Amino acid sequence: MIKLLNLFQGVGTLFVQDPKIAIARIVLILLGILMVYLGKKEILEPLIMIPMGFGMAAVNSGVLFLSATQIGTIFMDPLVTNTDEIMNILQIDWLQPIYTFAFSNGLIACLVFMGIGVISDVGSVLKYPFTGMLIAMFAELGTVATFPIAHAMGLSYGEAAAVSLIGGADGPMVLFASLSLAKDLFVPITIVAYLYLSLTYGGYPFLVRLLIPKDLRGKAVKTTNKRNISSGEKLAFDIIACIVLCLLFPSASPLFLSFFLGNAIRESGMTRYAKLLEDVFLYSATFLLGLMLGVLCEASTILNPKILFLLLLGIIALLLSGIGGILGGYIVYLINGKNFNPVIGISGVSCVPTTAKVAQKEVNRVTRYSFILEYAMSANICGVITTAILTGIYVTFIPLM
Amino acid sequence: MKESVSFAFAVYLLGFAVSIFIAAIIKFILFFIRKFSKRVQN
Repeated sequence: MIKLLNLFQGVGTLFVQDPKIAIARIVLILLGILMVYLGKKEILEPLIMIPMGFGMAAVNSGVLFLSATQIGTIFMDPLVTNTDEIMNILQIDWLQPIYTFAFSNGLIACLVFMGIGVISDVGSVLKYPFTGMLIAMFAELGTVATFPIAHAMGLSYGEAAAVSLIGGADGPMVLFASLSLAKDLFVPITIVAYLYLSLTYGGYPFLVRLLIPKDLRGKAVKTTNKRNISSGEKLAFDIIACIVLCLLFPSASPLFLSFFLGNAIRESGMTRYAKLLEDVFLYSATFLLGLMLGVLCEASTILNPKILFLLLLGIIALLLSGIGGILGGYIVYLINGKNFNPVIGISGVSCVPTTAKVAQKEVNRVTRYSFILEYAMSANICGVITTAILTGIYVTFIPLM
Repeated sequence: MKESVSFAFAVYLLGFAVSIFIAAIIKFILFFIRKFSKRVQN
């Protein structure tokens, strides 16, 4: 029997490990299968969930005896910090090079952000800058209000800030912040963030229907004849906003550069670069991000008593941001003399372009003749900018505390 | 708890101020570019 268990070590290790870890491995394998299923059914975002589910199932199945006393995998070791050890592991663990050279330094987050920059049209932001920014800041309610709750639950300032940023609904930002502020918890925080972000498409419509009466949801917005924004104006905004934000928050400058450079490439008409960033960088980074997050869900790494808190705080952050966004929508509705649709508020939560789509879809459920997508995209892209600003503030000020 | 609430509030106010500042910069860029391009046309 022992020989057989030594032969099939994935099963054999289940019998020699701490029962808690063995059970967690089995649960995580089943969870991986569930994620693939939910991804296939498009209940959760398939681009992230399918590679993540596979990674999670495989890393918890492929556990082996590395030596007489050590059990582990040959995927990667996220906890190793010693340089000599890293050099050894780089030659053995197949995903370690990607983790060390692209994940732990935030490169993947920046590549995703560059891709987001390429697919974002800042024209609507330039048309309605104050409305967009106002709604987006209201939609950051969860990003700040969750912070004291998380701290009261026993998380450090860095961990509390990283988990609060889930309220910004921007995966790369959570990854970037947790890598610099909460190294020990960045795996569970990022996983919780991506799990919940997949749920915004399904969850926010209910929040909109709950908080906004039907007659207001169908309200048409009378638009004034604003001049179209030229690509030169967009490019000028990109470079100036990038410089100003980098001057204010150098710790988050990689994020600002990535987003605005991506957008500048789009506006400069460099179609080859734009295609490279969108088709190659964005999708490669998203695929690797999903796979790495799945592989990081190794039972021994993820068994952290704080994970239940993180699950709770993540949902609180997103819920508060959704409520804040709708509140912002109502405030603009009142400021504009009732010529505004409060549903647009939900798109201040910066999950580009998901929340803008949710807003337009909810309006279309009531009436087919109201188009709010331009306002929604303005608030949506402003949301990306405000989340980056709040990330910059947290990353700059938390280490000083 | 009091300290973390006041910190969160300060973060929010600073974020708000920077966002409005960026919105003002946008208006300034548009104003400047449009005025300048009109002069060139004239």
